[in-house]
Parts: sequence; C-alpha cells; structure tokens
Amino acid sequence: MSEKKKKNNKKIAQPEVKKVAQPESKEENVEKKEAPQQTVKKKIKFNWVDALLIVMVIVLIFGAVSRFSGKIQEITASTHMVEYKVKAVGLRTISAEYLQQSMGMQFNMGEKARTDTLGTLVDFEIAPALSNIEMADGSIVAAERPERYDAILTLRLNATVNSSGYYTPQLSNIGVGSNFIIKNKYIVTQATVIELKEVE
Amino acid sequence: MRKFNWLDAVIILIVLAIGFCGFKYLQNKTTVAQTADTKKLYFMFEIPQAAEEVAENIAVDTDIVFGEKKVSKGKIVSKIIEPFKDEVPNLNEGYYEYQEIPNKHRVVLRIEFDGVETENAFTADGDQLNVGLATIVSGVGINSTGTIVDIGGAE
Repeated sequence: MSEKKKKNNKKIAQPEVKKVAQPESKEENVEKKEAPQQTVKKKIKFNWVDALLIVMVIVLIFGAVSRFSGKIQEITASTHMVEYKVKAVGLRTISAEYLQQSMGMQFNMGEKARTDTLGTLVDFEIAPALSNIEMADGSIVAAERPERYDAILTLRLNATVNSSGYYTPQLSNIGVGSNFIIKNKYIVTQATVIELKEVE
Repeated sequence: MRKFNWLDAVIILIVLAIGFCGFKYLQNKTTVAQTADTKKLYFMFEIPQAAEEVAENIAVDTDIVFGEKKVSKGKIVSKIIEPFKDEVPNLNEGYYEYQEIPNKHRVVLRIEFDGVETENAFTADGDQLNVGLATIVSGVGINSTGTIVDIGGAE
C-alpha cells in the first residue's frame, strides 16, 4: 500500500474514534439504559412448570428403558408348556364340589393388582384337611378337620421362561413356594405352588 | 404475569392426550359392560359368629350394598339362623370335633342382585364374586363382614 493511502486511512479512522468519545445527548442515554432491559425480557424464564415437565419426561424415559430392557426382555424370549401343582388348604365342602365343575376352566390370580392367567385346570385331588393338635401330653398329632378339605390342583400354562425361572404371560414369577390367591368362575382361595415341570 | 410459551403448550397437549386416552379406555369398558346381559343372580352370605341380637335384627327384604366398591345393590330375600359350631380339638384323643359355641349364631343370607354371568365369572358392577370371597354387606340395619358360600343364577 502506498504512503498516501496509509495517511488517508489514518485520517478516516480518527473521526470515528472522536465520535465515540463525543458527549452523548439525553435521548441516546435513555436508549442505552433501556437496551439491556429488552434483552432480559426476550429470555424465557425457567419456572417450576418447566422443571416438572422435564422431570416427567425423564421419569417416562427411565420407566420405558427399565421396562423394555435387561432381564425382562430375556423373559419374553421363549415359552414352554408347563404343568404345576398348587395346594389349597381348608376348603369348604361347597368349594370342593365346585372344583369338580371347574375341570378345563381357566384360573387367574385373584389379587387386586394382579389378574394374571394361571392356566387351565387339568387335574385335582381332594383329601380331608389336616391340622396339628398339641395334645395334653405335649405330643403333636395331625388330625382331620371336619367338613374341610385340602386340594391339590394341577394347572397347565404356556409359560414364559428364561434362565431365572418361569413366568405367567403377564410376567409374574411361578416357582415352588410361590403363594397367591387363585380364582375361577366359582371359587377363590389362597394356594401355594408345590411342584412345577415342563411338559411337551 | 408470565407469558404463555411453548412448554406450556406441550404440557397442555400431554394433559389433553392423557385425558383422551383415559376417556377412550373408560368408554370401551362401559361398552363391554353394557353389551353384557344382566340377569338375576344370587349369593349365599355367611356371617359365622353373629350375636343373637344381630342375627335377629337383620331383616329380610332389606336393600343392601356389597362388593369391593360398595356400590353393587342387592336385596336380602331370605335368612337362616342356626347355632354356630366351631371345630374344637380334643386334646386327649387327638381329633377335631364340632361343638356349639354358646351365644354365637351362624347367619346365612340369600342375597339377590342384578349381575352378569359369563363363561368365566359372576360379576356385579365389574366386581367378580366367588365362593370363598370375604366381603361386606351393608344397608339399613346391617353392616356385616362375611363370606360368600354359594353363588349362581336366581331363576
């Protein structure tokens, strides 16, 4: 660049610096004061409703991830036909009679929050109910309870299975020792799983 | 006052969507209930250890409510009162025997109601009823917990 041009540039630059340095009018002062306030107004304030929404979304995502991942996904991998026996104790005579009408009928869980399918009744055995009596001499004997019966029901279910056990189609675990309320059209009773095996 | 922003709009949309889903769900339930035919059903309700005054003062023809939600309506159509017998162990011989318990009565009420009988269940207002189910029957002059000991069609 020539020396003349350099000088011209300097001349042009100098008045700009002066402009900034010049004292401002009252109107300009007002504009400068208002300017920062306008930028604050444009920002969206973060309030508790937004926080709640974010928490809800996080909870939903977490719930969806935990529901559809990990062990439960494994459970849905395969199904097997299983036969398992449940024992119900102390049934009334009428309940024992209704069991005979229940052959081939479906049983479900009878709890408030769980109504899982438990399978079809394929067999049952009924025997007089036994209960222990502590005798006067201190010995304990098993005695029959009048008009009460113990029943062993065999249920057949297409169960969901994985390495950690057998599950109902609604994913409640079934294993020896599981205890739940069972019901069908006629009866409802407490029962305990006492045997479980796969069948073809 | 806070300005309405896009997050508020999203919240309103979510609430509307949940409301719509809930409405559809309830609408389907109602439709199922309406399509099922109701008919006259009965259950036998046993109050095992009622005091004599209670047993005597439960009146036949009383309108009652029952079930988990206490909204199912029915009527007591008959009543049987008999001495209450309980199983008592004989500690010398080692067996149980039924013995009458003094001042206690077994009351069995026949309760008729309009319900639905399907292949799998007897229901009243959506509640399933089975033999062995413990429930509360209440109405004018009665408020008793007992067990259903039989169930079926009344006609």
